[in-house]
Amino acid sequence: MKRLFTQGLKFLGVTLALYLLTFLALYKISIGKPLIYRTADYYQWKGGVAQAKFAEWDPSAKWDAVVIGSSHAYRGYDPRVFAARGYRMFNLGSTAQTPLSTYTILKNYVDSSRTKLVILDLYENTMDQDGLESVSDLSQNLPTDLAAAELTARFRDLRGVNMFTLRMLNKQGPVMYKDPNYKGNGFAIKTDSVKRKITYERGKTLKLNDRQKEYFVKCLDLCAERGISVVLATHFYPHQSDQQRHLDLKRWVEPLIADRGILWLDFSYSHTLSDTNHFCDHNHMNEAGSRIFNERLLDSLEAKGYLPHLSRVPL
Amino acid sequence: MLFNSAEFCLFFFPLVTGLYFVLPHKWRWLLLLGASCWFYMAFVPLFIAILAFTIGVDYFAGLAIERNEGSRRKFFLVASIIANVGVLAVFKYWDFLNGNLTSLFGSIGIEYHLPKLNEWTFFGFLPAGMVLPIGLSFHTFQSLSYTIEVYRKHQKAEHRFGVFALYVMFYPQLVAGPIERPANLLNQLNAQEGAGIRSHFNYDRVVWGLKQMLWGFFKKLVIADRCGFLVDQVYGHTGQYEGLSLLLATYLFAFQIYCDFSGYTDIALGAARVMGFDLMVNFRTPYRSASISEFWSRWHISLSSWFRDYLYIPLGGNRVVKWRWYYNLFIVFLVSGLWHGANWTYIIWGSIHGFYLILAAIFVPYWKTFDLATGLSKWPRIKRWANVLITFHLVLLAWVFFRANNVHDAFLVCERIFNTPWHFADLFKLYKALPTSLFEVTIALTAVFLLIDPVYDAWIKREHAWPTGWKGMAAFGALAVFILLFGYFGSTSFIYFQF
Repeated sequence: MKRLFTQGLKFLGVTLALYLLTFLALYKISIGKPLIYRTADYYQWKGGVAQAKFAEWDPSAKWDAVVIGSSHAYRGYDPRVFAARGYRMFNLGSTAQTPLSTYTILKNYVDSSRTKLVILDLYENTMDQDGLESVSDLSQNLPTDLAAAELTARFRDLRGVNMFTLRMLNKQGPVMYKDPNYKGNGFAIKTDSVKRKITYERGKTLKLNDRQKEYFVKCLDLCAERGISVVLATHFYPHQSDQQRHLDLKRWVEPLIADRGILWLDFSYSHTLSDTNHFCDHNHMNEAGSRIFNERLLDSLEAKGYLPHLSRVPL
Repeated sequence: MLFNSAEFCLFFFPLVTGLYFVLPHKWRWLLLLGASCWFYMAFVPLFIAILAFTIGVDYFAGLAIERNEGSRRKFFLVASIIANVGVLAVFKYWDFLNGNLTSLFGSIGIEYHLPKLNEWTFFGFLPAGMVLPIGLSFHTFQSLSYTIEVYRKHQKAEHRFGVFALYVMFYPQLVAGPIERPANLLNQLNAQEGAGIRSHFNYDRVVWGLKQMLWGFFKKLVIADRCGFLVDQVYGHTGQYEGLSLLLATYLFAFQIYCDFSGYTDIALGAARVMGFDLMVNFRTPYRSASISEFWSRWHISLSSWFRDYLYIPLGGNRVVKWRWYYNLFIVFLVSGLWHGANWTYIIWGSIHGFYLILAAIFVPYWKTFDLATGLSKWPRIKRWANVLITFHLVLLAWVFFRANNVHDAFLVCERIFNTPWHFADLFKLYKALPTSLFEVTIALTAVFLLIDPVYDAWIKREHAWPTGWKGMAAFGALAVFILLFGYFGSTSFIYFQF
């Protein structure tokens, strides 16, 4: 048994050395782009909205509200509209962010002394996946190595090891791209409207991922532990999109939040917006749609007492 | 539970193996039985009831066969066969038979309707929505081989129910084989339970087992699952692709299925070996076969030898008149096709192999003349490699039917491969439809696999000594690095689980 242990350790050492050498070689050799990016599709470049927002994020700043969630969050909840009513809001949403990633961000970056309210955007498409896309984005763009390590470890997948290795190699390197739609305070928006006919996928039943369910509950518990108020919110969906999946999510979420007394402002289909003029694609609002949504969201938050009524400042 | 899941690799396997070596010998069978139940119930817990039924019937049938003589022995054997085949008929073939009968009666204007299997609730005992129990054909055949061997007096009946249950349920080979025989596995389990001939921790065996598992994971995660992604893209949209893409997907499917199934087998054999058990070898580099009959002596050996021993030889084998021999060959492969799945595609796949063997048998006398006429007999190595290439392509043609979603698709694939011009634009279309770099990386990795497979396979089977010291560590460490960097981690199931 002792021999197995010592030989096993040697084997691990040799494997680790081979791994690092191979990874480094694939990182250094480029054919158009570093070869490592050609070995799998889960390696993300350092940059984009996530990089910009975490670079801008000031851990010592105080916020009336922090928005968190997927692209629905960072492309839907506009800090400028909040500011016009006198509120300081920062958007920590990121691409395809699932509750597993949300939990890591909340745990590492949001505390009660600086944040009064967390608005968690709830979108069913983030609840039926393992979270690979989000982990690959955040593992490259979270500002601290510890949080990135925590996230990749929490992902419980060997791909997480590769993502973290890439992060360490990219660490001293420059930002590789910027999102031209980024507007500051974590928010990015498009002004385009839908030009072509969109075919909406239907009949795809929502199979909630067990780990995302687990982390969603953990997010709520964490905020409760830290004394941060939580409001769930869902922004406008195009009327033609599949409502069944949203109803499936509702069936699971409603009993859960009823026990905890958490408010869910579900605006998904209760609106009169145009599926073409107020959206830029099949499920993201454009600037015009986002502005209308934010006004309604703020009205509701103020009416329910989550935000105090402050004086309006013209945009 | 899947071998390629974190649950198995990080929790189940280390825990069960660790406890196995810690526990006193007399309790090990109980540990393995409990672990096997846990392993199987991780898929669909209720299906263990079907397994329990098979085990119960064959356990008592074995005892009854041993205690009786003459026609009563035969009666209990037939009862066991009916019970086992009955389970298969209900859970595997009911929908197929029912669907075909509905179509047949419908074509002559008779309305016929019986519920589908997933509409059954067995009088409220089972939930609606039944699906095929995982690995049903494997453990049914393994259990059946026991009663046949007891009937033939090649094997004593097992009196301890738990040990017999473990023989059927031994977790490494429970869901996709190798289909063990009592002479091998049951006797090892008895040895374990008694004096324990292999019951002590053996460093060499443990390392051997772990290396074999690593090689199995490499085949599954790096080759099979990557190829599978590309194959699914093409075979899932056969109408959208032309000859060259379909041909490439068919080649890759040949490697996908080999790496998937032999990968599973290597993990199974390795996991058993770590604990001191030797399971049957199931693959011997089958794509290096120089004839179809050689292919079947190297591919899924435990199934082909099962059919040889329990169907082909009882039918008379080749010791009969010629037409009857051809009939025997065809029947065996027809049943082999049906064993794989209740679908016409599998039946045609089996029939194609039966047809190949009949043709080979008919033309045997003419091969020598052909060799002399072409001068190939002077070049045995060239002849061998030419035969390997021809055999591989014959097997490849049959794989089209195995993989296609239905018979129409299979014929469409064949028609497009042979009858449409091959354009690189078609390959480019496939390239664009896949995630970044999957196309070229998959092809490159398959090429690497072709080069290293004979080497690692010989090491794992200990036909050649593997390198020792740092070189050995680097050789197997490289496999781990490939898995880390190029593995496809979606916990995708093994193809043969569905059988």
